[in-house]
Amino acid sequence: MARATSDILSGLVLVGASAVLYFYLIPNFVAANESGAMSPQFFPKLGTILIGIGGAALIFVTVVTRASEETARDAEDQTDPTGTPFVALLIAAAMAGFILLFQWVGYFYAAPPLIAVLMFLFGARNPLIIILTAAVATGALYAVFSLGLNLPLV
Amino acid sequence: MLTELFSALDMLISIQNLVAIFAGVAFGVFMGAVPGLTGTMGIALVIPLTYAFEPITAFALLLGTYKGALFSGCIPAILINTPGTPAAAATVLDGYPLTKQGRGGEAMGMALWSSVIGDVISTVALIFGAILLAQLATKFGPPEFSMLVLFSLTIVAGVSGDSMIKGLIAAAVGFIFGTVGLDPMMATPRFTFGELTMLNGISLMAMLIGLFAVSELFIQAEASASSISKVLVPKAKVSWAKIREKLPTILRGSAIGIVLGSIPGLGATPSAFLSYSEAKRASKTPEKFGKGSLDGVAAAESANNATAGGALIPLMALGVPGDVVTAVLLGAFLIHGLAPGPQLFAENLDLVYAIFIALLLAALMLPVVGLAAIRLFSRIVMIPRYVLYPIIAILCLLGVFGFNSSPTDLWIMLGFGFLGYGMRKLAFPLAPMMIGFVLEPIGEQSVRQALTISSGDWSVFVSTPISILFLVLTVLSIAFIARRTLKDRKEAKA
Repeated sequence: MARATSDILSGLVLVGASAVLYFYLIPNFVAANESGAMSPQFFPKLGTILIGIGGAALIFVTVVTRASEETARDAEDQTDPTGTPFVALLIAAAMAGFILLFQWVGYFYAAPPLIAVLMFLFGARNPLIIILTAAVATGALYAVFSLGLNLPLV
Repeated sequence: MLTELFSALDMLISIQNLVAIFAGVAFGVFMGAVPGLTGTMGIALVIPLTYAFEPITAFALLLGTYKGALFSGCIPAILINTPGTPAAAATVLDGYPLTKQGRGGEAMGMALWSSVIGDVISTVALIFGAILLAQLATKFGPPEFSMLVLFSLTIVAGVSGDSMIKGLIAAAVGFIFGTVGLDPMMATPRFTFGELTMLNGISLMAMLIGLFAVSELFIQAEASASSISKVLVPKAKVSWAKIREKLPTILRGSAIGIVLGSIPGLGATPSAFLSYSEAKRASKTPEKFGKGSLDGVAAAESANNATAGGALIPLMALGVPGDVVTAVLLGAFLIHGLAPGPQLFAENLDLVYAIFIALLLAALMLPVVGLAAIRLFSRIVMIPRYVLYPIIAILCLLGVFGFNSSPTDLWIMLGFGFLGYGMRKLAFPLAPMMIGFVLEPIGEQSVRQALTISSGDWSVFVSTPISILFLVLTVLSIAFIARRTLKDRKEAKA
């Protein structure tokens, strides 16, 4: 997606989000027992207005300057052209799985599968290296956090 | 003052603290030397390990990491033409050509000693600058703090990268996240959605690690595996005569680094480039720059390391972060229950002095760790990504959980990881969001206290010389930023 298009879409999402915040979330989830700047709603509303104005300004500036191809290409260069969000999604899913397993069965059963899956996603293919690294890293991190720093892991 | 100084020495000088400084510098050097890992990420990863420590041990470790990472970005810059950190980008210009000429060892030696000298000078400047500024700041009341926060928000422009609008949006989003939890004046819940765990607001630690470390993991997962061939690492060696010869360049670079570092929003990268261009302008052989000049390396490295002390002046004295790394360090202070600023000087002067001494010790340990790191560099870059990043992922998860033992924080961290990843893909900067989040509670409390004192009269914000000064500085800062933006646009068009 070209940078100009993604900026316009981002701007639209931001304007929409600020409208939801201003008209629904703030009135329903922030009590208003004072008025003006003393109200607990004042600063959330201020931030919301800034997001809305910022979103609108992003759309306006992008449309007006309508990014020359050069600018768009420069901006695209900031991200890896070979990159795909799919791997990032898988990593997020693996971390979410760890959080669930960690609460359910504890650190020692949750950590090795996460390390193994992440190693695979980051390019490891040798099962022996994956198993050994997962086992050693699980033990070493337990030693650092639980035994060394006395931080609870259960 | 002497009593506090002795008390600080007593607090700091222990095996545990010296090991913490050494370990911090070593870890920082590692983070800076591996392209793709950064000092900011390093500090974010170290914070969870410091929960169990005394504040001084924690800061010894954190500041050591900061200094180590700032230096070691030059190692891959000189040896493989890849800056380990953005601040080392100017070092590439002459460092790599020197390596190609077989003078890599000399370049590494010059980079190391320029960094150490710049670092020591800037730490001394920090000590005097922060003490003077903090003394002035004791006269601040809620109106002055409100205007200070307003001025601090102009930092956002400096860390916004290419698009100031995106930076302001990111800061506003951080600002909204900062309002979650109990209202600071009336203790009414805001955006807690009935969750008790949200009454304390969003965990700073979860946000910090999610934004800076987890999002980096996602980005790195997308990158194709980089193939780094085995690097022939020369021995870092430069003669004292050469260092003496380059001393004016190093001193000039240090001064530039301190000044630019202390201006919120600038930081190490522009300092290094400005110092480089000044060294070239002052040189009798400017034609050698870019082709392998030791002056170029000395200028860039002394300036980028000297920004550390400069950037810590507003942080320590006013509680205002000057750049991304100091924004993360501010988070670390808050996590340890300390608020940098005049109150820290008034109530914990011995701790402040201990931190200053720890900074000096970190600078003095840099040559030892730096020389070893240069020798180990070929092995450091050979650590496979598939070992490094899974361990970083587990470190993030355990670090956040260890802080509050709260699984909710883990979900928040993951959420911010995704948000940070999305922002980076859409070219929104992360640092302004962090700054908005950290400054919102301070600003809101100050504004509402000031309005309570003045019975709602807004003129209280321009009622004292200090608050007027901050207002003027804010206007000047905005004018400067606008001028610079217009100039950059004109240059880009040309």
